[in-house]
Amino acid sequence: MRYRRAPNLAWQALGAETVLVDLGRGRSLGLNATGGLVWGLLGEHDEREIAAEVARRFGIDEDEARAGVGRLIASLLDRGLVEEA
Amino acid sequence: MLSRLARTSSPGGITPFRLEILDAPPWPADLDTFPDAAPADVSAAGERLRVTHRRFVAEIDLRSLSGRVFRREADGASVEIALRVALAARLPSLGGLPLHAAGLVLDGGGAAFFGPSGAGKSTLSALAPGPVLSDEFVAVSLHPPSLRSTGFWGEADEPAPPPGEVPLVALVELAKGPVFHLERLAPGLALRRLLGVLLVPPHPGLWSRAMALAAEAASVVPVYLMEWTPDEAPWERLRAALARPRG
Repeated sequence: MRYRRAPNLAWQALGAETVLVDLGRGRSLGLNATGGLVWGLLGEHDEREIAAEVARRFGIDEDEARAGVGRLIASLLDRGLVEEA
Repeated sequence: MLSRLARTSSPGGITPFRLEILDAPPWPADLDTFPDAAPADVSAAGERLRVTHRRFVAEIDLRSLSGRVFRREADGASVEIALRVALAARLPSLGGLPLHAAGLVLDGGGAAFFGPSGAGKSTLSALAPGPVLSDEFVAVSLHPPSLRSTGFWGEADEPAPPPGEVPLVALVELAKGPVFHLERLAPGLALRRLLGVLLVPPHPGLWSRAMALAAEAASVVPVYLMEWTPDEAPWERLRAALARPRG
C-alpha cells in the first residue's frame, strides 16, 4: 500500500526529532527518529519498502519493522496526516 | 499607527508591500455571525491570504505583494491587522521569524519573551528596566542572531521610540510561578515551544520556511523556560543567568 502526506502540513527535523504541524487543525505532533524516517519516505515508497528500510537502518527484524510501520501509518491516517495514494 | 510603523527600520532593497483601503463592500455573507470581540480569522487559498473579521475583510496576494482591505468603518484597526498579517507572511521569505513575543533590551542584548496570554508579556514589558521593542510582536533574524522591532504593539502603551534592532541573546518562554526559576530547553523542545508562538499565516510554504528558521533559532540561540512572579523583579537573576558561560 502506498500513502501520501496530507495537504496543508508543514514539518521540520531537528536532531533526531521531526515535528509536524497540521495547519488546518492547528495541531502539532513530534515524531522520533523512526517516525521521522518513515515520514521522509512516505510518498516515494510503499509500506513494504519503508518497513524494509526501517529494518535495515535500525538493524531490526523485517516483520517487527512492518508491524511498527503499520501502527505508525494507522496513527497518522487516524490524525488525518496521511492519506491513501 | 502609521507614524509608529514608519519609524521602524527595515533593510534596504526590499520590495514594499502595497495595501489598498476601500470603505466599501464586498462583505462575505456570513460576516454578521462573527462576535465583535473575536480575533480576525486568517486562511490561505493558494497564494492568497484572506483575513476575515466582523468589521472588515482583507485579501493579501503573496505573489504580487499587494492587498486590499474592505472595511465597514473608517477605523485604523482593520489596516493594522491587515499589515500585521502581511508582515508576518512576508518575513519568513526574508529570513525573519515573526514571533508573538515581547522584545526587551537588557544590557544591550535583546531577549524575546513568549508564552500564552496571561504568562506576563505585557506585565514584564511594563516592568522592564531598559528599552522595549514591543510587548507582543517582534521579529527574529539569524545572520547574525538579532531581534527587531516590528512597530506593532499590544496592550502596553509604547513608552518611547524603540531601537530598531539589537543582538539576540535569548528566547525565553514565560510561565507564572511562585518563585523565579530559569532552565534551558533542549533544541527539540525549544522548537516545539517556538512553533506555538509563530505568527505565520496557515500557508504550507510560509510555514516550511518559518519552521526551518525556528529550528535554526532553537539550535543557535539559547531558549529558556522562565517561571516568575510579578512580585519579584527577575532582572538581576536573569542577567546573571544570561551572562553565565554556556556549555
